[in-house]
Order: sequence, then structure tokens, then C-alpha cells
Amino acid sequence: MVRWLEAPPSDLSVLDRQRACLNGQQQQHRQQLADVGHIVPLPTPMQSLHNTNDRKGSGNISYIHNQIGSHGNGWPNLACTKYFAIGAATTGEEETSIKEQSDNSRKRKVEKISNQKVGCGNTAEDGMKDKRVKEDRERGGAAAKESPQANNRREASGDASKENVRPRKTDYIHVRARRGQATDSHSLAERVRRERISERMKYLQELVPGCNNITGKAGILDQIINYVQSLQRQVEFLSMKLAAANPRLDFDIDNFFNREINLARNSGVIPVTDMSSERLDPSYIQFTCLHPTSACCGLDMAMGSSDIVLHRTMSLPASVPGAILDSSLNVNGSSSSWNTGLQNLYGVEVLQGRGPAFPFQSLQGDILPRNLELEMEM
Amino acid sequence: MSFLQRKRAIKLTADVAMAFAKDGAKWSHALIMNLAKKPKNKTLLRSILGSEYERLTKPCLSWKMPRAKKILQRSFKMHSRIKKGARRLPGVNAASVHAEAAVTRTKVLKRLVPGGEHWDNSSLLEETLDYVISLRAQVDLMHLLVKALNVPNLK
Repeated sequence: MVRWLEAPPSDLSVLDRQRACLNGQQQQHRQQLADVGHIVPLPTPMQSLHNTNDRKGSGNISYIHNQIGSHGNGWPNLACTKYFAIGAATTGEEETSIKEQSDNSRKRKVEKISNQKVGCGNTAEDGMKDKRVKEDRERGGAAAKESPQANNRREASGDASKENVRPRKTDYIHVRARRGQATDSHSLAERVRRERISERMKYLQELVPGCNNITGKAGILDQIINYVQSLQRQVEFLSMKLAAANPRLDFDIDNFFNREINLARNSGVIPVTDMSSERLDPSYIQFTCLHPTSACCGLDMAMGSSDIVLHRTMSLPASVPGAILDSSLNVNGSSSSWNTGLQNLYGVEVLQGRGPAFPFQSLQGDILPRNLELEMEM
Repeated sequence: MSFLQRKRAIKLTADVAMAFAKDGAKWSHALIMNLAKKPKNKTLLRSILGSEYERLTKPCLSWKMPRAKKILQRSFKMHSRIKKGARRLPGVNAASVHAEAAVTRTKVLKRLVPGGEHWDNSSLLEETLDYVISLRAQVDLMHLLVKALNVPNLK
């Protein structure tokens, strides 16, 4: 895992302790990954997802090993991240869930840091006035984190490493008015709100590439908007590319999942593509059944995840289950069958490139080069 | 199945998966609800979400601002605007231009992030942060998929 943020060095002792805490967590993560042989149990939403999909042999094991290098400017470089997942619904799911956990823990900690910053900056001054600010219910999410923090700060300011997972006790936020500033409850509330917003803008500024030099809310918001739009456009383009990659797929999206689920329940087997070429069916089945066993190659994992994405979007004609059952019984996780399966897949891909996919090729010819150029810029 | 239908299905799957992965965030709930509104997507959603489908498509009112608070906010804003307008010079100020620019961009951002219209500024920024992270992960994943499937690049 990686440190996403470099928190401002205002309160070093607190920061060091919290960084140590975070690093300890990261090392714990890495250790877990290393110890269990690169296999970690799925987080629970994933498990429920797998269970409901009735997938055998893949519901319990998933593996993510996340190596993220960083750019020179300190950003985590997601482009060189390696995602490995066995039998994962999507690698993105586990990846984001683990990332979000670390991110949320970091966020909570940095919020704590900033709150203590506010507090520490004020405690040194004289002539302070203490004011209570009633917090609205709608800011309850953040307030729930902040009010116990504020209480902590007032009662035991040295206890900085306490993890902030208390249940919500009060809706009040204790704020100290700085010297020379109005102690009006409205202005205090506004100040708190403004500080929270600027704090979040800072996080966004560090996350979105290219807005380090830009000051001012409008410019940063501009960059954020551009970035979000470009990411969404990338998703569109990539989904188009993936759709182009499998022109032989046939799926009737209204009915097929019902059929798929029924058949899966009956046969207990993961449904596969409705490919017209017979030899492709066994190869796909080999992919899916091999997931729990083959754990070495990154390409295997990527193939596995691609297969899962694909098999969700494919239909299962009633005639195939017989063939599936037969071929699934033969699979033992042997590398030879895996290789032949891969070759079959790539062989079919090559054929598709030349064969009856001409209308798609012309379409690709128009759309893809331009978008490829766009993508190169991104 | 046509090319565009496939693409739509793939994109839908990817979005639902991304939203489902980050279940604690408001934007994911909003995204799933928006997708569930169209009847075309229902079977796909149901199969991916499974047992969580009912829970996630139930409208969640806890993070929508109640009408009373909206009215209060609006009246407070108008009041403060009147007060500020009386003090400053009429005409174009740098500060007012800056503030207006920020407001318009906030509106645009609200449209981009799923469900953003209902939140206030600070939670909007928080959800944007979350959303950006998830989007980036999604894009990387799809890049890997494309690479793995060896999509022929026609140039």
C-alpha cells in the first residue's frame, strides 16, 4: 500500500505517530499477503456477491497483491499497479475496497490532525473564548467523527493516537474562537465549515494530477471537473474497446441472466460463452475452473478477471451444459491444458481479426485511432 | 447482439461493480439507484447485486437534505447576500467574480458525480474524492483487461 498524502508538517509528533500507525497497518497488510501465500479472504460484500452467483471454488479465495510505485512528485502511480485476482468478480472491486479502507483510515486520521491543528493553534493564545456550536443533523457524518475528536482534544490533548471509531454521542462541536475574531455562533460555524471545505479541497488537490500550482477554488474545481470528465470518457472508450474485442459474443440481456442463474443452479457450473466455435467452450471453462489453483502468472489472473467480466455478459444456450459438464470434469489445473486454452483463445482472436468481423473492423478503424490518440495524451 | 448493446452492457457492469465495491459511500448508492430506474438494466443489476439489490435500490433519504433545511439555507443565503450587497460597491468585483465562478463550477461538479445534487458542498467534495479514486481504479482495471484480451490496435 502507499501513502497517498503528505500531510502538512504542522504538528510533527502527532503526524509521526499517525504515520507509524499507518505504516504498521501497511506492513501488516503486506505481511498478511506474504504469510498466507498471496491469498487473502475476500471482504464480505464480495463473498455475498460470489455466493449469490453460485460459483463453485471461487467464493472463498481471492488474492490481491498491490504494488504501487510513485511518480517523482509523490503521486501513487496507478498505471504500473499489478492487479492479481483469482476468481474475482472484478479486480477493481477488491482493489477499491482495500484502497478505500486505507484511504478512509487515512482520511479519518488527517481530519483528526487538522482538528488538532486548529485546536493547538488556538491554545497558545490568550484571551480566548470558548463557544459551543450546535451541529446540524445533516453534517452528522463528519460531525460524528469530529465531535468525539473535539472532546478528546479538550479533555486529553496528548492522546493523539486513539483511533476514531466512537459511536456518536453528541451533536455538539467544541470550537475555540481565535483571538481577534468574532465569537458569533454563526461566524464560528461558518469558519468551521470553511475550514472543512478547504481541507477537502487540499486532499483533492493532491489527488488530482496537475493542480499543485493552481491556487484558488475555481481553478482547482476546474481541474477536478476536467479530471472526472476525462476518467468517465476513458471508461466509455475502454468499454467500447472491450466490446470490440469480442465480436462473436451473443447475448440477450433481458433474458440471459435468468437463464444463466437457473442453469447454474441446476448444473452447478459457471456458465460460459455462447461461442460458435466448439473448441472455445472448453478453454473458457478451463479458465474459470483453474482460478483457485493456478496462482502464478499475472496474465492468468487478468484472464480470469476478464473472463468473469465476459461471462457475466454472455448467454448460455440450453444445449451447451452437457458439454460443459463433461469438459469441466476433465480439468485438473494442469498447465498444458491452460496453455492450449490460451492458445485457443488467442487463435480465435486472430481468426476474428481476419474473418467475418469486417464490419467491426471498419468501425474500429474509424473510432479507435482517434481515441487511441486521445488515450495516449491522457 | 449489436456492438453498441454490448458496449452498454459492459459499461453498466463495470459501473455497478465499481459502485458495489465501495458500498459505504453516498455516490455508490445514488449510482445504483439511478441505474435501477431504467427497466432495461434491472436483470443485470439483480444478478450482479444478488441479495443486496433490494437494500440498495431502496431510496435512502438520510443524506438528502430535508425541505425545511433547504428553505432555511436559502433564506440565510439571501439574507447574507443582501447584507453584503449593501456594503460593497455595485458592479463587477474580483471577489464576486471569483465566488460566482466557484458556484458555477460546483454546479457542474454536482452534475458529474452521481447523486451530487442533494448534498451540500463539503460532502460533495468528500464524495468527489471517493469517486475519483474509484474511477481511477476502474480505468486501470479496464486497461488491464484490454491488454489481457490482446485487443488488436488498428492504426
